[in-house]
Amino acid sequence: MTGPEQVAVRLVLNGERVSALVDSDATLVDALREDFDVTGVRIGCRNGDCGTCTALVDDRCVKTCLVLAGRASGSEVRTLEGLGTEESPSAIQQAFMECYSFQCGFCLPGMVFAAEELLDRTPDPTDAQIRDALSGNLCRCTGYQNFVRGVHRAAEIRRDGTSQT
Amino acid sequence: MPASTMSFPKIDAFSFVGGEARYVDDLRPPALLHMAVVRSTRAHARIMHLDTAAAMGVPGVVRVLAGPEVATHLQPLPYSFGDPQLLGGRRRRFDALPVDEVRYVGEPIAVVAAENVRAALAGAAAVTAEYADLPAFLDARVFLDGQASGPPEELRSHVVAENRFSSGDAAAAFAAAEHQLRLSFSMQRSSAAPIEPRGYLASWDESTGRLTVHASHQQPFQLREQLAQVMGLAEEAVRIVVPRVGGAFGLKMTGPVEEPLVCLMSRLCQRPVKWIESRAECFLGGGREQYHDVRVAFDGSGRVQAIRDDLVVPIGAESPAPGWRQAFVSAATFPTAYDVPNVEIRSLVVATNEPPWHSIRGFGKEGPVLVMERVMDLVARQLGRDPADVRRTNLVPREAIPHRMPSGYLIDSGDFHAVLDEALALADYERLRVQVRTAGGPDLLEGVGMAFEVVPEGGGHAAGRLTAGVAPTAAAPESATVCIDASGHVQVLSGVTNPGGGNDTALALLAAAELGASRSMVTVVQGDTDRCPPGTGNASSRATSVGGAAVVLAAREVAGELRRSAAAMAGVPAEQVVLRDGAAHLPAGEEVSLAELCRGIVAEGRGSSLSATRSYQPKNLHPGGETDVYRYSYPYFSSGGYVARVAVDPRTGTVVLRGLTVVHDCGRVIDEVLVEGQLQGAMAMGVGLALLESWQADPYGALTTRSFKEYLVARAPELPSFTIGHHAVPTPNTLLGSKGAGESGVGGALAAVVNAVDDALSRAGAPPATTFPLDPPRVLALLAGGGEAP
Repeated sequence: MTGPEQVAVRLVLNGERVSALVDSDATLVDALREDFDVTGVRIGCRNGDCGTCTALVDDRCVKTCLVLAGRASGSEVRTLEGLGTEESPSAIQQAFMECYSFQCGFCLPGMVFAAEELLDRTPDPTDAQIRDALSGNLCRCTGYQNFVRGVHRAAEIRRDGTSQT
Repeated sequence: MPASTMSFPKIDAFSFVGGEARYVDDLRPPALLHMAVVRSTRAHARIMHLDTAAAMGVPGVVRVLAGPEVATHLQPLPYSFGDPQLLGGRRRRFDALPVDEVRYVGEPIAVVAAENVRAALAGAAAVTAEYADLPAFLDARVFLDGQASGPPEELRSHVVAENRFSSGDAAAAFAAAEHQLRLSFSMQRSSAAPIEPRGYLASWDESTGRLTVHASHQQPFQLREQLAQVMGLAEEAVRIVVPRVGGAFGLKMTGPVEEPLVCLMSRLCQRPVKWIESRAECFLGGGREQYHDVRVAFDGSGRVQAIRDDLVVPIGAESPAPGWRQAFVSAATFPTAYDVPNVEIRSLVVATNEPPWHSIRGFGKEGPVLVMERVMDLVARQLGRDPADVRRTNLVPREAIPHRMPSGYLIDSGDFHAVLDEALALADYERLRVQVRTAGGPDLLEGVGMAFEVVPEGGGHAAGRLTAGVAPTAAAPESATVCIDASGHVQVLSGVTNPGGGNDTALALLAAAELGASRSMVTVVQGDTDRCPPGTGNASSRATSVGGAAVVLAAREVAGELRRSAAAMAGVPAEQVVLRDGAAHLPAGEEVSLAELCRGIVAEGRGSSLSATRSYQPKNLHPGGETDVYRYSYPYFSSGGYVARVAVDPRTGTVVLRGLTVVHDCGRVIDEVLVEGQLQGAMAMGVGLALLESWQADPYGALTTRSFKEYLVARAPELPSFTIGHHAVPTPNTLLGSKGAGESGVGGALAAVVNAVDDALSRAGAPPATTFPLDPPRVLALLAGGGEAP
């Protein structure tokens, strides 16, 4: 028994050009974690159900456990690590920290990017719109309540043009 | 203020939103091997032949271990949480891998280590087994018949324990009863399902003879003890380190066989070995399933005179993990918050050929809450009375607390009437009650339901009178070390661990308050058995109430030393020194920063830091006038009143939860945001149990709910925002007066939502809901006049 064919995967990952040879049947989440040392995508189900493998691929929210790494070659990929910094967090990061939105934090890749994508197209969402936008991501700690508060707060921060309070 | 120095409700918040937090699967030491588990495909069978040769031929496979070889290396696995006899249970021997017999579909039968995950899985798939099937016992409901006379002889081999608790004279009360009800309830098996499954990384160091295990775990010290015993090592030779944990909810306690197996594999291969559970493997575990045959006697005012419950609790295959102990707690928690003079609880704990129970949030207390709350509603309905009034008639009054329950559990504190009334007021229950009767229509059935929940916590699940031959029980201590170094930095080392909630933040807050420091000056270290003083990890809502008390005691000792040093420098009495805002304030208005003070102490040669270690045990204050002596049991009871509002679509059977309100008593609230975070998560789980979550197997015992597509948990659109209020009645049994906030909400939310759906359905003529969850097929079946889904 021999291993699968290898394919070259080139990405712009969090602003940096990276490349690796990966198994042709490797999913993007495995390539990101194993070959590119990203920990801001995680494995919760390998089935597209939980959302904790979420990254932005060419500016779209993607569950990276459902994409072959080879298919993503040539893409620009952004993970939690590429969002904001401790000194200058993104509005969502800031708001989630302020609102105690998360507890264990394992689900954050999906929650953060789903919220970012929502606010990009709907700057002032309703509760129902927020809950719909987060519906592809599972959280067992919080009951989602503080995520909803956090997205409202992030909308406010974005409107005020500052992440400082 | 720059974001980096802002004080967020959670410490280290950016490490999470910035993706830097490290969970166990993020650890990749050099030369790492990966383990995969070969699992039984039979519910009950003799292993006739196990062939591992083909697996060894898979490229990348380094080692394959099966039962006979493992038995030469590992001792049997010990029971977690003490001998089963404490709970009236039988003992059996547990080996890490079976040699001749499998007991459930999914039981590990071999393990494979390989250079990468792909090779490990391919190797596991190449292991073949031949079985001779044995009769599989998959439906414990056969025990429901004739339970009064004891289980039939041919089924006795399945009985793990019989737990009986009684008070008063139930038989006489039933004979004299004005009204009676007989009800059956079936609570489904469900699973903890954290988003991060279990995972371990074992690293054996041959040169030092030491084993280091990074584990997504709730009980590092218990795991250390168990691994040392099973592997024949000294405890000092084992170090457990818990990195960030992606949720646990009871799943990640000591006992699963993968724990010693991944360690053995590391020792035999002389390389680090990692095992990360798959989602389907994670779903094997379950708990909570129970069947009740309940009889209730009551008078025309709704006062319950007697309750008798014959319950059967199928715990899956027997296991050394603590999950099966929840069956005892379910029986012992009857009749929850109610003062019922005549009680007879007869519980059979039954082993089946399903995967073993794991511990799960609520730890057995949510079942009795569901049953008692259904009973209160159905008594009210039979009498045409307001369910709130029936509860008020039966709740243990404030002046009767402390209150000894039939099992020996002691309700230490609480004001149940006030908590219920405040919950009803906060939810505007009187208005809702009218509204659900006038709103809606044939296309939408509206309902409102309530529940009252008590949650014994703080550790101490065994109970009963301490009579001759009964082993006594004692409170487990928690301990903490608090030190402050020459830069004024405070370090808290605690024996309690953080499964992902906020107890690290609570410990930092408590230490900071005692030292007059800011929270940002405090670092909390948990989960490392080499660095932290011992403790119970994360169990029974002890982290803040008991672990926090140890932190406070240690911090007080350090604070006293700081005050004495400042006083000596200034020549004033120590009592006049106040620690506040990171400084020692002297009577003359001068102040010395803590850092300066510590530098002085270090310069005097009194060590590189000031440090104190203290431990704390909760108390168990008995009611005055009690003559019997009881075992130590749960030191504190949290309680809560819950109100749910639902709308049911009678065409689809879909339930929409419109609102859920709680007023909760966890004693002194250390941090409202953290407590409410715990409640929100637990209530979401309770809603899931009421409407969605259900572990299922096929007729041969094989799991069919293998992913989140079959095992449904609540998603964001299925939940409303909850309304939370507090009514604090401090416990006399802890230093801080705080009680538990980890398990509360599961049973209360579950029962309130079920009662609300039942309220809606009953007005459409449906029979009472007795089988759960109330998912669309079951709701439609109830509306069609039956209880069981087709």
